[in-house]
Amino acid sequence: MGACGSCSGGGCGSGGTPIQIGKPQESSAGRVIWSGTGEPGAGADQIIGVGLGERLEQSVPNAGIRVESPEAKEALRRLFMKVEEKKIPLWTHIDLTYKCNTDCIHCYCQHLDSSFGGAYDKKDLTTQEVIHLLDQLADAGALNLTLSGGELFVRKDFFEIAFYASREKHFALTLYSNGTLINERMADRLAELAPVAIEISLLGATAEVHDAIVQRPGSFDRVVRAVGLLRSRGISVVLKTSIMQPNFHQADEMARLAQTLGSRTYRSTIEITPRNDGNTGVMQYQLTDAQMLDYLARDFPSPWPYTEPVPLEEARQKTTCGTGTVACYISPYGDVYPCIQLLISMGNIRDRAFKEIWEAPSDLRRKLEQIQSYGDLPDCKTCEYVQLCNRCHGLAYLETGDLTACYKLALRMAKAKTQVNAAVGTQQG
Amino acid sequence: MPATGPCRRPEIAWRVIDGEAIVVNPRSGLVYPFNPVATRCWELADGSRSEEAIIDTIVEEFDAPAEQVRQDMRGFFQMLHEKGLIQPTQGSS
Ligand code: SF4
Repeated sequence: MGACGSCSGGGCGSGGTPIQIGKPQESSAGRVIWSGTGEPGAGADQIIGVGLGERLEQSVPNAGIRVESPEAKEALRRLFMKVEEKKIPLWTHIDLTYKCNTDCIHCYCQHLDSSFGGAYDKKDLTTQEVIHLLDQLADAGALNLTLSGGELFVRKDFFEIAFYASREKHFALTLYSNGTLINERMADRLAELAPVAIEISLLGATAEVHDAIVQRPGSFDRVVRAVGLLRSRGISVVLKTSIMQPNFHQADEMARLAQTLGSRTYRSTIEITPRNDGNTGVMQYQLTDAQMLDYLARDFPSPWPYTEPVPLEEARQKTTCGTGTVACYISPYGDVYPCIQLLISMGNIRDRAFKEIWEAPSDLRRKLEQIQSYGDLPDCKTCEYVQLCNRCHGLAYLETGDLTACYKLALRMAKAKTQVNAAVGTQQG
Repeated sequence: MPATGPCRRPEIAWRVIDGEAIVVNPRSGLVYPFNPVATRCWELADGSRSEEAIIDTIVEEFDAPAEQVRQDMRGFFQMLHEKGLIQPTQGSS
């Protein structure tokens, strides 16, 4: 699977641009709690990307023996404060392999397994190693588990791992896939597994465009079929798109198609990021400034929600993401990272226990702990675009080698958002 | 062996943090925070105990007015059923 807005589906939520069919688009970098919440039939099943402290009201029903909804909301808020305080990796993302049956032109994965033509002799974690890792993650308090790749369904032991995670360790599973390997039999097993959602990349509104990006003819048709198979079994599907040069002209059609296919939510991102080995060649597919502006200014699928400008002193108090505190990422080779984008390894689970790696004091941890808000970052604290910026420390690191530096793609996007916001404000005013 | 009392549905995701559970129904995507009493009750709901046995344990462990707890617990089990968090059981008293 390519760089499909992984961030917007994971624990951080700051990377992508969530677009909710029939719901206002979010402009702030709220942390994603769950991929989806909503009472079926209550018209709320499109609610996704629930931001801590922002969207709880819509997402949390009466709970347990707390009969009052405000009590339940308050309880969840309090629990999340504990999670932050104790640095529990509640949101964990494991790439089970970087091997993939497609070859997306913008993919950020660099597979290193020599048995698959990779550059180094790195081997994917074995079934037993993954099982042992899941035991340790459950003990550490992880709950929301994203399994991805590469293409996770190329792993023959996928269901063994997924059922163990769900049935034995009680994780809430979200799966990322390119959708091309899902047939009837797999769809049946996935229905039995009951993940919270399966997120599938939609990279074109036609076979011509989608297949050219994934470089495998027939992929588009297989994706459309897969979505049908999953939806007909009541599985929640989230389609997501990386908007880039080769599919920009179909941006609106892709959102419409997602709606037609029954995607619970359609999520798009205009962030094409460097490969995880630092190769920036893929950035040639990024939108130009003019295209970004054009895309953000569109009324479809949801119009830009106006944000009242606030003074810089106030804007820079905005909190940064929870990388290294409430989310973590583990590569197919067992390396533990603070998140999928911040690729500074904290250790390898083949050498040390997860808990030991996660809790060990390190320069990286100290640095991350010092960054609570944009005001703690040298470039951001004086930046005039801070209010509408969704920076990512990891991508700043990949771009510049300094995780505290300005993330240049975020700057370009923040400038475009500021312009669109001002125009919407003028219209409304 | 069929469950004889309230039993958590196998696909329900949950984690206990400091004595309080976060419970997720993956089919609806809904998230439920449980307080310590509800959490203990949830942990005990593995199908091996009847509803009454679970209630007795809670009354004992939490040193609370029995009638009040019984009433709350019955409402709680009802909610668990309605929200699809536990499966129908055979012979729960
Ligand atoms: S644009 Fe750059 S300097 Fe400004 S807030 Fe974003 S990351 Fe920081």
